[in-house]
Amino acid sequence: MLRRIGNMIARDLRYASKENILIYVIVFPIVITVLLSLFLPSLEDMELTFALDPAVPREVAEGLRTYGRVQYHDGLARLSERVLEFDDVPGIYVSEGKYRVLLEGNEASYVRELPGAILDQLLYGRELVEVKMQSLGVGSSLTREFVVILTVLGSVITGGLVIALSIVEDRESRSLQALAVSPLNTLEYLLAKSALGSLIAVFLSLASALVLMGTAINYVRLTAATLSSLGIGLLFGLLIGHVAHNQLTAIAAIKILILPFTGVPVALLFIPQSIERMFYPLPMYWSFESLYRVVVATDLPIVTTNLLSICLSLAMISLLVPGLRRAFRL
Amino acid sequence: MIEVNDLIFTYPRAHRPAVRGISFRIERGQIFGFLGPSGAGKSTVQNLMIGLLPTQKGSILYDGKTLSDMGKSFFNRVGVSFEHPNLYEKLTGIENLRYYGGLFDRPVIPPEQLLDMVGLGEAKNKRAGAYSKGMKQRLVFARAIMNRPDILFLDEPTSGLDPGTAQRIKEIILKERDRGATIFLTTHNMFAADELCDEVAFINEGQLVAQDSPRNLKLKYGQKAIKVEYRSNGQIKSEILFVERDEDRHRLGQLLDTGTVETLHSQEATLEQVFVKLTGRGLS
Amino acid sequence: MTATRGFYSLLKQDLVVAQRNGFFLVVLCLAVIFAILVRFVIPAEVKVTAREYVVDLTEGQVISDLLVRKGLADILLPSEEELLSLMQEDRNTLGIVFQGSREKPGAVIHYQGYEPKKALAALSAAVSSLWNEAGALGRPSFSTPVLLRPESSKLPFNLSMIPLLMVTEVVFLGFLFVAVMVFQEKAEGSIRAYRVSPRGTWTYILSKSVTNVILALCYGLLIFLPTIGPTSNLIAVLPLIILASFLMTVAGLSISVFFDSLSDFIYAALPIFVLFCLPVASYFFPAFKMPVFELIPSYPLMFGIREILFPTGKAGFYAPMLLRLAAESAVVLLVAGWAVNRNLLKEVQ
Repeated sequence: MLRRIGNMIARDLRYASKENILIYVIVFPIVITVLLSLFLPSLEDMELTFALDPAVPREVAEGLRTYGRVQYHDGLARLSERVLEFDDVPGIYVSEGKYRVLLEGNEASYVRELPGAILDQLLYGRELVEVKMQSLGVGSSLTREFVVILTVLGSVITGGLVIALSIVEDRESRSLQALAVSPLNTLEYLLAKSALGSLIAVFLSLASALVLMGTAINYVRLTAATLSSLGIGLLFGLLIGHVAHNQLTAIAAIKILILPFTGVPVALLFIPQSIERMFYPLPMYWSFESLYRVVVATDLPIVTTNLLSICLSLAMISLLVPGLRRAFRL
Repeated sequence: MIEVNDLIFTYPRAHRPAVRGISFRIERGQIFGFLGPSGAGKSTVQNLMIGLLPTQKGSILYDGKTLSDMGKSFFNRVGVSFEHPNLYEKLTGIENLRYYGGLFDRPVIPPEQLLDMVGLGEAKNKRAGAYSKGMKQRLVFARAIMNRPDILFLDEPTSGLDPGTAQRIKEIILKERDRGATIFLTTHNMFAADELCDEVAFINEGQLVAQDSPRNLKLKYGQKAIKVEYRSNGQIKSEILFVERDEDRHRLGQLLDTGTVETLHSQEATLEQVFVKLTGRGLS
Repeated sequence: MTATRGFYSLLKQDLVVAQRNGFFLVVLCLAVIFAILVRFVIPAEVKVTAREYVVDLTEGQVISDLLVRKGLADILLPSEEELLSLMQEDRNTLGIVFQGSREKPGAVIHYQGYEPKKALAALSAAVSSLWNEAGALGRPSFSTPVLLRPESSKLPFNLSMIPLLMVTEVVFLGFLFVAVMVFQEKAEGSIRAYRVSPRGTWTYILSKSVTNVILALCYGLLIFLPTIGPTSNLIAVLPLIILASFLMTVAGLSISVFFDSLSDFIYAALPIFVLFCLPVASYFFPAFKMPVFELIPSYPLMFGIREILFPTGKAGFYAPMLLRLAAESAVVLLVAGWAVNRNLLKEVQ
């Protein structure tokens, strides 16, 4: 049995390396992670932009720089044009000796209120309120950490995609028919097919965490959480492999199925805790929770969440197996 | 008239040319057979002639004009039947023809009529993906003749067809010729070539090795042979003996003397034998 | 005339093939799922920026009174301990403890530690401003706000997702569907038959693009009608959808012809899709914009569609946006023409 599975894995690996699939599967997700890592610092250091008329005194402009970015636009017409652009950028100009804050009218409330407050603070010339600052000492924003969680789950789904496309390739090329008249059974076939996708998922997960977080993450815990999430990728891959007979139907299936698989973690970022209970039967919820504990709530244990993710995904896969047996006829 | 002059073509990253200095001429209204084994360069020459491959060296002239002189409108006058069926598998037989017919600037034969001609009338509303290999082949052939082409390129048009259907297709090919079409027939089926072609050219390893009418080639390179069936130890055996060889003439005499000969048939040389003689290899 | 007939024939064929491939079904499913999400699942109120909480320890509770008057009573917490415990639980929060009196105003800003310095400085200015408003300082106001347009009503979060779903899906589907068509024709070999027909590169590209545009319009209407109903603004959105879908189709064509199979292409398509989705960050945080966003067509598109569907009175953006999309489409069309001619309509280059 092990020899047969090993043989299948070797064949898949050979095929994937010959057809450049390995390169595409590994290189492009890493390109995405690098893209995100370049983008994140700007998002984390998000600051206001002030559009200034050149008549605003230099010392005021310098003062504004301690609160945000400053850019100049010559004349009221240009300033208005800038303010009217799609992003929220307030304009500042001087008219009849008084400062005017030029707004479009529908900016976010903080963009409407802050320029006036900042100008008052700057122009009054002295601190009137004794403001003390106290930090809780949290080093990084949640934005980066949520991106890491989503990227790791994305890696698991990418592994699932590899499994799916490999099964679809077998179906389309009728290799499955050849396997059906060999001693290989469904379980062996599924184990062999899962191997490469799972390996890729683990590699991508660790690589993307390294790109985004460096050493600021416990890789042992991350590996454990990723390994326990592999069932989700497998479930995704097998569902597509089950319904799709060729690449074309596979794309349609991917397009529809990717919604629940990626939508659940994204929804968990926004929904209030009170309705999280609805997601308890889904392995995606527990994987998300495990990864949250690996990346954010690092002092919480992950054993239970990992086990729940594994058990729920295996339960769902076992529901799928009879259908796969019928479809593959192995 | 089609003139092909000193054609040379090398595929990207290939070490040696697939076509090496091929020249020939096809007269209007002629069926020109292009014979050679797999990998000899037949399809490459055809693809060069229909512009699917760019001409690297040499020239291809249609009534003195190159493909680039004529542009895409040239294909209004051309029909191509590919060796491997290439159809929209999600479309029915009739839809495949209807939509393809819409691409031409000249009137086309109604799809229903074409499908009846090739024996697919009853399967016209079936998806091409569900057709058998032979049915797909016939649909591709029908598509090639739908614009009443002046020049028809046929790549193995009868391969995979049962004898009855193959005969039907051969009759249509001859009718096309009689209508005035010039036909370029690529095949490794010597019987089909012998039956259909006014002229054949042999290609081997990218080079032309001979070109003439099938009859002349057989006369020039073939050997007169006799097939003898005789009884030996209660079993019927057969031998082919060439009358030009001394030892074969002697053997024939021996067999006749024993009185065991059951049948005697004169045997003409086949195009395959001619090809073997010229190249030292078989056609298939 | 005959070229037009050829185009119609090819277009009809592409539409039938698209329908048989289930493209219309996929579009219908996606639109229904998204419409359900927008109408029934996504809440109307979601705060995506950091939440600020206030503890009022001032004499006479002057800050609480002010916040209640401003309709912000829900951000008030009873004690500093509760504030700190809440901040430790939710890292997306900040806390301000107001203390002292109008004569000697003071405040402590509790922050997580990752916030940019400039943001904290701005928060400090806001704290002074609030004390001032509460009558503490008697500081004169040095600036007057000038509104270019009247303030518009707040768009519910769920409805604000419609332009986003519209743009990201039109981008993704346009890109993906055309690739599916190309790879199917390559696999079936039907592209070889087209190569020897009298119709050329532009008819091919145009037919594929129009098919995708029709799919995109179906998707758009299927999302719009059940969520915002038939409004006259839809007519202004349609040209944007048409151009965006056309642009992404020709972009998809330009790239897909360089790949051998759909499986390979899908991995390459993902980074491009992520790139097109990056400006979504600006949509959620409007004060945030990277200069590179200006170059990504999805950036103006999502704001443009939002402005048309839920007008705030912005003017003068529509024609330049259409022109820009048209110019981008024209450039990518030329690239597609070259790529299709070189890599798809010839057997070897």
